[in-house]
Amino acid sequence: MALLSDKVLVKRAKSGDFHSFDELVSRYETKVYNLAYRMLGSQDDAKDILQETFISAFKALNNFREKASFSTWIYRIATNACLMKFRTKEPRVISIDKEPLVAETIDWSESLSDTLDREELKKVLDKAISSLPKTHRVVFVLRDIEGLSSSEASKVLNISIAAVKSRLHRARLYLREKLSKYLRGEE
Amino acid sequence: MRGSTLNCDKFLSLVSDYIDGSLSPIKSKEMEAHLRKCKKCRIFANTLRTTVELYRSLEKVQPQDIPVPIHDTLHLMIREEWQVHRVLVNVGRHRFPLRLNLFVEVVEFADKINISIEVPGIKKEDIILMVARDYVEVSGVRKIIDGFYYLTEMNAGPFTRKIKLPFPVDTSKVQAYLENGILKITLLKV
Repeated sequence: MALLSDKVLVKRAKSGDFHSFDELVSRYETKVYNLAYRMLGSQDDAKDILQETFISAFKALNNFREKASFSTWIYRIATNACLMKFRTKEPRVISIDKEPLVAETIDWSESLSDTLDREELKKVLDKAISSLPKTHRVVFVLRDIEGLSSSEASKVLNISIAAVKSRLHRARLYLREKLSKYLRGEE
Repeated sequence: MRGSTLNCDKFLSLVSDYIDGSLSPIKSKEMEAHLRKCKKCRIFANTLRTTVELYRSLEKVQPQDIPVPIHDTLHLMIREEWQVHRVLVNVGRHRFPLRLNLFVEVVEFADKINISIEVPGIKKEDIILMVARDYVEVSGVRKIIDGFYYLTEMNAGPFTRKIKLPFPVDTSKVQAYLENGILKITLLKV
């Protein structure tokens, strides 16, 4: 089973084979769970998104035209579910349109791992990412954490590659600034 | 920044593509030329790269494993959903139930029981009948046609129906035949 391509599994699932669908779930559940966790920052929400995603996928399976890969398709469902959850959960809007100016005088890129231990670092990173506006967070998570290409992310989100790049750029600048501020003791 | 066509603003607007290595070779060279001369931008690029690498390594080193109960619940839900929606044989755009529902009638007489089961469109060879002392089990399949269902309001797929009998029957004297889409079974009391 493990050797079959997603495409074959999709075909089999469509023709009624439960085990093929179950295998697809097994292949992508960790990715979806992590995406949701990065997006929403809580295990509980990640669990909800995980379930919603695969139930939706199951219901929509027959309408899945297979123009995109299964992985893009499942990412799209999961991302939309996350964004929907945001809508009900997080009314706050943060503007990151103003790019931080270059004010860095200390290069902390080398010394960082000596300054902070893993746990603290993880906390800082998690906090920073959870303060990113959702439209930017989703791009950052897909591109830099999940490792999708700009083109894949653009398909998942149904936005242009240019928009992916621009949001990614802003998200990175924002996170860098957050980290910098933390290290300067400002946050 | 003499000797370079890039100023700091331009550098900043391209720095993300630069650390991704997605700039053209010419642009990359210009960026590097700027970096050699501008300490601020050098620090900025370094710290930006580190930020991105930190997030990446965080994910690689500490991916959130799905807690076992969440994993188990998910697969159970999917299985139930699969059965409840009785999906799916996708032939064209129609969804068939996983289990067909058969309509049954059991009539009791002094010495026998007559059982009728609606099995429209089902062939005799696709039905399996099992008679035990106190129950009857009918199973089989109404075959799904290998073609595009433009319209169907009929169900297809496998079925099973177990009927508990009101009294024990003689399993050696079973009569069964198919008539006008109805499976008729006659069983004698012991």
